Amino acid sequence: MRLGSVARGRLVSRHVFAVMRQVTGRDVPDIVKVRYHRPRFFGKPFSELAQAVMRGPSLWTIGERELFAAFVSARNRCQFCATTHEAVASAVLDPSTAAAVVVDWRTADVDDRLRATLGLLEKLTLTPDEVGLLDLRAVLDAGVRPEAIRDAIEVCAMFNMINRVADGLDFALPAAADRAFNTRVLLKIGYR
Amino acid sequence: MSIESQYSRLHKKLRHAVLDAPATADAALRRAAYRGEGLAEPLTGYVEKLRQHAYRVQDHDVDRMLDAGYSEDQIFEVTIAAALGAGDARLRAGLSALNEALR
Repeated sequence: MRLGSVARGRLVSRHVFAVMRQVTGRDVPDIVKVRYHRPRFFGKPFSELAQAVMRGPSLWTIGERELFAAFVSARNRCQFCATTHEAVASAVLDPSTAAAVVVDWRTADVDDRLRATLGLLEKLTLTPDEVGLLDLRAVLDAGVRPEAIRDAIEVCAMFNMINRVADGLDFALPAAADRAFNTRVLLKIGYR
Repeated sequence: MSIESQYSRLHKKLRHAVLDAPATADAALRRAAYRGEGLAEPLTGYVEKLRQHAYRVQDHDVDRMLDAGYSEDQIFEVTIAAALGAGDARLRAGLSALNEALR
């Protein structure tokens, strides 16, 4: 992490991190440190929104939303978020499908609804100013309901934000065992 | 038929905390980072990288801001504001095109 003060935490969070390390036997992930750093400025309102978008009611399953998160992060080349959320998606969906989508959504074995949505999220991530009426018509024509498109756009926006925080501040990549632990936490507790 | 975010209240709350509530960087500076315009160097270069290809940010981008006298808290705030701006730009572009397609 590039900012030492965020990595170390302030007085209260330093104690919280020490307890977390003791309970889990692992390093505290950088995303957690950012969420605890002056939580009223970012961590608290961000977590509330993330929990709603990723775990609230939606036409997409939790696995599909995690797959969108991994996909958007991979398009932004954000390794921390891409690997974290691909692991979560793989834990609840077919792992080979999750991996195939992240590598190439055009050839992955997914239904038309999901494929069309992934195409939209790629364009929205890479060239948001070029997204227009026709892109959205294509997704609607594939049979995706407007509310589902809205929810996918929410995931896309959220990860376009957090990818930039992760790469701007240089989040450390967790080791494989830590990633497996983080997956369990994200599935059990979510983003709270 | 018009379709809006289910979570407008939560988006507003987050924007208010990051852009308007008292913090170490001026609200004007945070808003400039959010929009990606009206900043001076070395902030411009950093925020532009964050917006276009954040994976290319290097330690020296952050060091240049520290050398110019910005505190870690200010850099943290600028980072979050710029990132939020990039996310919100996608939310607006996506939802506005969706509503156009539904008209």
